[in-house]
Amino acid sequence: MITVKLYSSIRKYGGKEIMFEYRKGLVVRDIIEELKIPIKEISIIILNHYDNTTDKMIDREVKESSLIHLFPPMAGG
Amino acid sequence: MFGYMGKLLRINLTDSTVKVEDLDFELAKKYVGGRGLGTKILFDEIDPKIDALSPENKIIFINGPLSGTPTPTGGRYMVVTKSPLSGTIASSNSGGTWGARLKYAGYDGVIVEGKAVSPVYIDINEDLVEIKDASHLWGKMVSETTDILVENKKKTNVLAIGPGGERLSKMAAIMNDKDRAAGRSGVGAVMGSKNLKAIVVSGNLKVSLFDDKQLKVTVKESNLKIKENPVTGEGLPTYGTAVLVNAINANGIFPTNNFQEGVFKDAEDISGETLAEKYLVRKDPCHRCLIGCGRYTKTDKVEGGGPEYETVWAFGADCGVKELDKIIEANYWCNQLGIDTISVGATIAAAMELNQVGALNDVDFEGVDLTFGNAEAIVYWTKKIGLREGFGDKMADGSYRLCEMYGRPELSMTVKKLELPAYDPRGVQGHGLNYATSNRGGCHVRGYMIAPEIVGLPEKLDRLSLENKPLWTKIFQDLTAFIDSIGLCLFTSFALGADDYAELYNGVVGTNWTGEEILKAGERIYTLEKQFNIAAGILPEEDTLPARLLYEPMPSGPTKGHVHHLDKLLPEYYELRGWDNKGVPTKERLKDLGL
Amino acid sequence: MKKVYIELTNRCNLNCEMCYRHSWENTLGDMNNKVIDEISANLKNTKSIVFGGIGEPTIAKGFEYAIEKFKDYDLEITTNGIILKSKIEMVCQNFKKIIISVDGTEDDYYSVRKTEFSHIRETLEYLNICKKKNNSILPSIEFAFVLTKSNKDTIYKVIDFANKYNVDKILVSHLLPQNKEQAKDIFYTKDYNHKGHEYIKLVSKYAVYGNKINISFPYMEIKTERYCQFVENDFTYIDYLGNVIPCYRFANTYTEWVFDREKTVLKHSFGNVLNSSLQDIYYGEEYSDFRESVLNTKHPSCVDCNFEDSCSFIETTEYDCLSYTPSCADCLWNRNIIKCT
Repeated sequence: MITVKLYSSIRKYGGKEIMFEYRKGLVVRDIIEELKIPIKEISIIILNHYDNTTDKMIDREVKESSLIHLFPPMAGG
Repeated sequence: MFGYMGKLLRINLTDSTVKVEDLDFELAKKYVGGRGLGTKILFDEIDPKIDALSPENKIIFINGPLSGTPTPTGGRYMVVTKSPLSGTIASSNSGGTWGARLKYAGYDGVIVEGKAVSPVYIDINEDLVEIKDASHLWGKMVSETTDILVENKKKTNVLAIGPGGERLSKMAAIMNDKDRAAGRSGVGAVMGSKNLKAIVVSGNLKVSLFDDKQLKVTVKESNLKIKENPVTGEGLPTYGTAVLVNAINANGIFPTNNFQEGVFKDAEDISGETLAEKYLVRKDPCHRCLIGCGRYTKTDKVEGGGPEYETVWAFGADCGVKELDKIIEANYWCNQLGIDTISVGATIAAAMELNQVGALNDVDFEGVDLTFGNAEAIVYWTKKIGLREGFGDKMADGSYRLCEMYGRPELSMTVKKLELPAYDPRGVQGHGLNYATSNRGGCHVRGYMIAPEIVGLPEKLDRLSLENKPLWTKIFQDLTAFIDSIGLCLFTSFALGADDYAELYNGVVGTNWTGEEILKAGERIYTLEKQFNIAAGILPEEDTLPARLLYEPMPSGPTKGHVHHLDKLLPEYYELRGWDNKGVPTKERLKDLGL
Repeated sequence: MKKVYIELTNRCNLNCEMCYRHSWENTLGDMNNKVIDEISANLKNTKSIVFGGIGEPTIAKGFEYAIEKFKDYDLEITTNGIILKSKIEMVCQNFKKIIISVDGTEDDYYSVRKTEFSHIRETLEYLNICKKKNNSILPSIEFAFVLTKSNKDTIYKVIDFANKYNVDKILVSHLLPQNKEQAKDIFYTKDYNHKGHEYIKLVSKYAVYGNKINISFPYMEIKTERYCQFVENDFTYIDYLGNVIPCYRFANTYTEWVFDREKTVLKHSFGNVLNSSLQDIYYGEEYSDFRESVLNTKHPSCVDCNFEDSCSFIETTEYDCLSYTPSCADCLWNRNIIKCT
């Protein structure tokens, strides 16, 4: 199973946490499209502790029991 | 000159004289205003080596040319003085309405000198300026003091210190409009050392604008950018600054238990989302702001402004506490006592680690143990610090002096004795460089590298790579120096770029600066601050980070195994700044900057 | 300057519950003859003069003098209807239109106006007598009805009463709340107002078919369209001190509630007729720029902005986020919710 965690304004697309069935060739883009989250609403994608620019992360392969964090643009402090 | 009111108030508390001086527009051209102009005046008028709490030190309350104009967030002011906590230049920034009100009263700044024999407050009502007795206010909390001084007068704003400043705590803040804090570097103690309790300002004058037709176009564009930007248009207004908790935690750089860990398992309980859900009453925007990240919260015990992201971290993860209502209570008492939430929270965290390693065995905890996760402790000891009671008296001068006193200086997570805020440098190399080289010590708002490294604004950088991070850090620091000098809020920089600031500045003041010129002005201000610090005796080796962050790899989480590579970044940074390898500005660069 | 509102006085012989005067700070007084002379000497392509403002014109010291001065213009007057017989005669001789505030009859009227409804009946009886005596259809009589949730059903009695005294028109306007309680009593909404439209259907049917009386309604909800009766029709307003003001709203500094949000409206005048001529002020750069920005609706709209609760520009009318000053961005006249002409 793959755990996907959503935060602040994109929680409306699926609440705090959603589980996904693993299947071969699954990439981050598929998950985002399944959740119907518009790409421009996501600014931070962290896959198993690794994060990079959205365009680099979007097509990374998602292995079994991975952990994904999805964040909308934010800032503070 | 447009934008400026052209007048400064010079108030000497020793011989209680009030003088009105003309603003030197040549200086204003070079140092803009606010943080820049304040630093220049202070540097010219005091010997940087003096004791910050002596009458020889001066404290300058100065707004920017854009404060009080219809530009977005045009209302901020700076408190510029020598810091009793870090010994460096301290220019503490704050919002609310006081800064703009000082403009509407007809002044660009107030220079306070000397020391009063007994507690006084200053009453500025346009051209009627008086020094009045404040013995009936001494010892009172901030909001009570504010209510008494405002009475039911209209168009009146109050800036005051609480018991923290009166008892010269080196973490004391200056509170304006009750819950807006010029919080860091212990500026409240400088007011306390001068027996100055408050400054009341009333006024309704207009700020003249150079070309308000053109300014309307510029303001319209920048405001639309701010509203359309997802951060300043949705994230911040909805969840406030605390929206960052989950993002920083998910990157594993959320300092926990005095920077021992990078992930806090209960981050969700103290996040902006939870705050908005459970305790938020309404948003609380500063003067002329359309972002509205300010929070007004209420628990069954207290009600008031804040908490901010840094506060939620300092009393939360850094102390291992997950009870958000207790954090809000601690924040409330910081605002009432007039002490800085970041420094106080971080000092309590340092005390908790001292206790953990057995360095505080003979200390009387009065039944409230300083152990990580003890929610009662953060409220109890905040009050003790603010009133300098019991062990609180030893904590009131910051975590560096506390840890040094108990023989474990390495446990104090500070740079130049100023407590580090809520980002662990081991996972954000650029931001760590900013901590090491910030002119007032461990401070995140001198060059907020979190924007590119974590959030991706203006573009996403890999937080762990060292590649051209020194250049980015320098640009952010220079741009921030300019924004702090014109009187706007740093958060506008999530949506606006150097050219927007140039246009706003030109529309108000009537100059025709380009983006490059304002970055140059920012660099001039930044380098001037560095010169002040060198003259004040700050050693080059203080441009560093606590040993833990340089040598102990992050134990767990997404940043596991990383340390901060300051040694690789600093030389390149100095070179870019035109400073020698000891961080001293070279003659050529000084000449080039007109210093 | 097609129509000029002159505030002969801001004193009033009544103290109605919802009047703006409750949150006022300024002094009371009457327009002196010098100001009246200045105005009449500088009118340009003006068609009508309205004796209006937030005060009772018929009790003003300069009432007779002003009639004399402006008699060759179309004269209109807004009044609370508590008028001496002698003054009613003057109105009948000189005025084309008289608008009387009537928000209910008998006890309903008393609860709002705090004076006996019989005074209104006497005024109307006498008005009709004078009109018959002068064998003239002028002045046309109109009622101004301030609509709230609590008084909305009293309109039927008002229509009957209006019909009985051959009143020509009833102008319905919503209430501009002065405090939190009144803010709960408003009958308009932000999104589609089902009850409101039902109400209009019923009342119109009753007024037009049953009693043959013309009735005009405000919008029942906030629409995107924005239209300022004052600026669009070249109206202007001059207070008793001679200050030239763009509309009713900016005539005083007072507190109003826009839906559930408190707001301070700041008095704004473009000049005083005693210092510079009315024409220099009206056609001056500042006032012309202001009209141009209102005509082209350049100001933003705070009423339906989703930054409404996180923006500080909205607290007063000094600036809006597009730096227009004074700011019409939050004005309910502009959304045809509040009507006064």
